[in-house]
Amino acid sequence: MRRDLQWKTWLILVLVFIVVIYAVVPIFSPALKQKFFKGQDPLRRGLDLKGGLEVILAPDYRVERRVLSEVQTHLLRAVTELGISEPTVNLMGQANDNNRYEGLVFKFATQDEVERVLRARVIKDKLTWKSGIEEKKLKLNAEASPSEPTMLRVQIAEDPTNFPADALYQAKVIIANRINSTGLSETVVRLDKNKERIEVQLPGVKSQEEAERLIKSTGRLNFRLNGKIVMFGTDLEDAQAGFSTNEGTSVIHLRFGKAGAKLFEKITTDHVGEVLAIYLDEEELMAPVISEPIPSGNAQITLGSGAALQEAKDYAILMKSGALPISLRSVLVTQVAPTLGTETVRLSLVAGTAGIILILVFMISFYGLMGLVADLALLIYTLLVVGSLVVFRGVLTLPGVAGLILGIGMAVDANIIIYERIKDEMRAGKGIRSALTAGFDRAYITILDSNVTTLIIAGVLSYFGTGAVKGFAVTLTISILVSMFSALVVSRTLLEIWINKSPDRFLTKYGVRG
Amino acid sequence: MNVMKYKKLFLLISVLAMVFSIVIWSVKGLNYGIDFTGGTDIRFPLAEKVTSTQVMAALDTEELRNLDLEVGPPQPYNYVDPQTGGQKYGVLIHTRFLNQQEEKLVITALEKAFGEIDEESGLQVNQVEPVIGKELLFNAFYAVVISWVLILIYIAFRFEFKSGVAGLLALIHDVLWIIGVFALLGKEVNLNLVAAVLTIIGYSINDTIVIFDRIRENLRFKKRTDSYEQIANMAILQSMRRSLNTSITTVLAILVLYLIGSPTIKDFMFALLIGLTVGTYSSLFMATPLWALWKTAEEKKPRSAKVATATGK
Repeated sequence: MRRDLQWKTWLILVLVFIVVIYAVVPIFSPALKQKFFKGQDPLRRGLDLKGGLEVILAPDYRVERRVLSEVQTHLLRAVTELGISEPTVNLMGQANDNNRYEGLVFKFATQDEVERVLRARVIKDKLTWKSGIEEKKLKLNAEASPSEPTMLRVQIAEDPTNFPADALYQAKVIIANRINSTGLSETVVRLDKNKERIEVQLPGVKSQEEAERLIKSTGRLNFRLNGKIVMFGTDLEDAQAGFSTNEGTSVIHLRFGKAGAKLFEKITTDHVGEVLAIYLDEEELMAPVISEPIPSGNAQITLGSGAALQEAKDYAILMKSGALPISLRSVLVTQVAPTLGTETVRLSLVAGTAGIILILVFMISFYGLMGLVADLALLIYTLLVVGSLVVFRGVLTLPGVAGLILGIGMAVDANIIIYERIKDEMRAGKGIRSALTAGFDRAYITILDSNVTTLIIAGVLSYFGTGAVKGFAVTLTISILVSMFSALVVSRTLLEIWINKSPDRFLTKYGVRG
Repeated sequence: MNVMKYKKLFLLISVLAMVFSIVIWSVKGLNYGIDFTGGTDIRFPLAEKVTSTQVMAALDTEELRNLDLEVGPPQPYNYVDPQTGGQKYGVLIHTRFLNQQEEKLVITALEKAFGEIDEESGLQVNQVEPVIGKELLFNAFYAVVISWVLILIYIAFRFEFKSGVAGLLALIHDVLWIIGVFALLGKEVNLNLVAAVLTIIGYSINDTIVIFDRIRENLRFKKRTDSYEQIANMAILQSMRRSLNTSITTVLAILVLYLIGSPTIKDFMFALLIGLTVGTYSSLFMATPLWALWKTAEEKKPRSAKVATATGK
């Protein structure tokens, strides 16, 4: 055998061997699966194929109702000072959503009044609101409603500078810690700094409750005296549930950091006997009474008698996870039922296998033994592509399955291009060997040009895509590269070996007449 | 065989198809999914078949009415469970972007009417904030346009500018076809469709390039008497078999997925099927004739300016 053919054959065999051992055998052998993938599936499936939840969280810059009502009073005063009769005011945004709203809608008697308010610029672009330790810079944007000219819509949002610059990063770390402590595998927590978004993927999460606890507890923990915030949860270092035999009921232990402990001591000393309500964002969790000054930074909340330990645990989790430096809300939720995911996988497997068999039959019936070589190359392609996905830890999604099938199409295409070329060369009167070389050389350029464009598309997809689409781009890239390898190296090597062995048989099979 | 004889007919068909697509698109509009409009989709599993009115009635409670959820017409669906072979039912409910509390209210109302569901039953909830939806739509648009531009540049660089433009027009034709059919059938336009469209762009341009590659080669052996139409015709005939064989094999594989796929997979495969077919057609019978027409027209043009400078020296 020729030298180059020898090493090419070895290269192919070694690659196939590695893939079979690393990606195929672990499917059947739990021991190897444990060794290579820590017990996880070799081929990572996306949420749409595995089931689970994807949530994208964004900072909630909307303003609390209690703040808005004070802003409203302030703005109304400014408006009436212009001599305009008091307009009716409504909140802008959804009810029941964290008690935060997008702004205020003023309804005036006439359109003229709206214009006067706008002209007088009594509604400033910026406002600072203060209450207790809280201070918020607000951004306002007033404009007449295009559909109803007597309405003045004032968008009000928190200025991002109210929060520390790395607030989102801290939030991401906290969320990631929380998810990791649940023991879920293959979760993803990603921060997109430019878009100010945190992407959370929880594959395999079956109950929405489990994920909801995470989503819901994205608020900011705060302590309030008489409705005023006196302290934020960021100072809380730990919250643990326990059972106190002294009191005979469940308790929650709180531990504050240095600065927090000092502040907590001051609050508890000054306000013994008062209620120190604990809020998660705008929702009251509990309202314990301060029984004595707490100097150490270690506090204990005693729940009413009969409270289950589970209740205390739930509160502790909420308090701990609620210690986010910034309030978040979910802007995108994708939930796929695990059963649906498995169904799709099964269907795709059946369909994929059927599709491949159809292609194999088609190639043999159209190109005979040469088709068989292409089929062999195709099977190696399928193995290598799955193997590459496993090695590069690509994520297989529903569009990804289509990407693989298109890759099969491309692989077949490359073979067809080559064979048609070889036939052309033989028709032109070349011998088999030179026809083979010339055919491959010419097809090489075609295959390169046509595949580069598809790679360009894959690049664009991965740049613009989110989630599933990005996974598709990776699958597409891998399948194109492997399909080129399968046609230009595997197919060629097989054909050359065959021709070297029995050129006459090849000629009688493929002697082109006429 | 002279395919180029019918070039005007082919181009007319393509132009008519494009115009038809644009008309349907502008008249009927596209049925954008929540990926682009924002909102909440709830897929609620059911034990048996129900009608849209029954679901509407179940959601018509005092509490839900006050929330103004903007509930669209519920769409009942059914599919075959691959495991048992039995029928499975469900209903798709579309509302505005709901918060957790509102979502729970809707699901509770449905459970009250159609029975409780457990976590294995296949409840699906998708939510997209309208702002994100708009962003996703723009991203999809940019992705398609940028891929067009990059492909134009690549072909202009590897072949010639005219080939690039002809190929690009064929791509626009393919995409318009898919949009037109989706508008006509009122099928949902979502992120998966964008992935399908981009896949088709990749596939179709691949097809076109194989033919242009033949043209490039034929041009090298072009005799003075050969017209561009003859060259193009030869290239079409040379690559016809390859184009058809490749398309048939790929269509076969996609068709299987389309026929036995679950509802989510079906639309995606449907788009691929249209795109593959149209893409093969446009590569052979649109991009190539266009190129030939342009080259011929250019040849006939008097090259006065160039001649003048040549003689002037």
